[in-house]
Amino acid sequence: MSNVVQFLETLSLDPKAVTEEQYVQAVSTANFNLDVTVALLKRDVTGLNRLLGGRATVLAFVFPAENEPDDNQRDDDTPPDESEKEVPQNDQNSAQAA
Amino acid sequence: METPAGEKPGRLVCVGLGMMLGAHIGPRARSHIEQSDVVFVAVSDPVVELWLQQMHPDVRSLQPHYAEGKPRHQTYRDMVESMLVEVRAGRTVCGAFYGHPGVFAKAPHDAIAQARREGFDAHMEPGVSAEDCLYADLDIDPGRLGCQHYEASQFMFYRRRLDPSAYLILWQVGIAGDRTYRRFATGPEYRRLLVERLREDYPLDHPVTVYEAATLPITQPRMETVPLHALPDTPLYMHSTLVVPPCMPLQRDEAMLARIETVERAEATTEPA
Repeated sequence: MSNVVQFLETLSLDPKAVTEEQYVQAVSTANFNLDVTVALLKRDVTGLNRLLGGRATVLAFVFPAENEPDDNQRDDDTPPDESEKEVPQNDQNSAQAA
Repeated sequence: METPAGEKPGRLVCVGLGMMLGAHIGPRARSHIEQSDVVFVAVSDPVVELWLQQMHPDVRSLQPHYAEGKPRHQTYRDMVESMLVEVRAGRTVCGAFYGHPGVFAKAPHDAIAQARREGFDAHMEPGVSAEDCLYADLDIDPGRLGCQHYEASQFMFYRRRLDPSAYLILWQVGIAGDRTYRRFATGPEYRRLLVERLREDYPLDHPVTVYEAATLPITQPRMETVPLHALPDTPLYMHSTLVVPPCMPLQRDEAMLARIETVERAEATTEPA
């Protein structure tokens, strides 16, 4: 299935505008299996990920609304707040937020 | 006792992949991925993980650190620790993150800081962020009217002095109001509270735009404009961002302008002939 990933990368790198007709033509002539071809034609990302064997879901949250409270070293820009009491307590090895 | 950075053999670099598979990655980021001993990845789509696996034989996803009910603070600590374990073993480690690794991303900042504290060389390579894509797709120049950015929950937790003559952009609006740090979505009741806060500065019929950057070349960015009052019932996801355009014109500061004019006149009278 790696050629499907390469197909997507090539599609990303092509700066020319690709019409829907050109896209259908490219997908149809790429010799992918029928399921992959259908997913690409439908622009079905979930189905494509499943067919390629990628993990089922990807979680993309990488930033908390607040830093964790730390009794020893609280960030200067994070004032105390009642809500923080509900956040799990920090441990000594945790890194300080940027 | 801390060791001066760079005196140990292990090293860490966190790079940005940009938002769209293959379209935004820079040559320096690609070089770090290809030349590192091990690559840790946190990306937007499963297929992007597969793409990275074609660049390097030892790609390790950071996704398993997420879990429903697990505090996200712990998730981020685990991400940092998994990278640092390899750095301490003397390996060259690359953390590859979707978008920009330093924009609304805790683990890369923390990992770099921790590596430096332990005496390892560590740095960050920027990438094309969702914010960059937002400006391009929505035709917004943040310099024209100004632009305020807040994490949506943080915006709700703290009092902010909004400027409704500038753009307001709220990130992670799909979990707006979450104080548990254990969920991956909040519902309409939380968004109603967000709307209540926003109506202090904006009319309820003010148009707001839900934005999601395209992450694959076969998809389009989501740019759905709804009135503010409709936000609670508008589908929002992990990667949704809320764009609130200004609702009033720029307000001239006549007092400051007068003071500037005074300075200008003083300069004119002291200029040599």
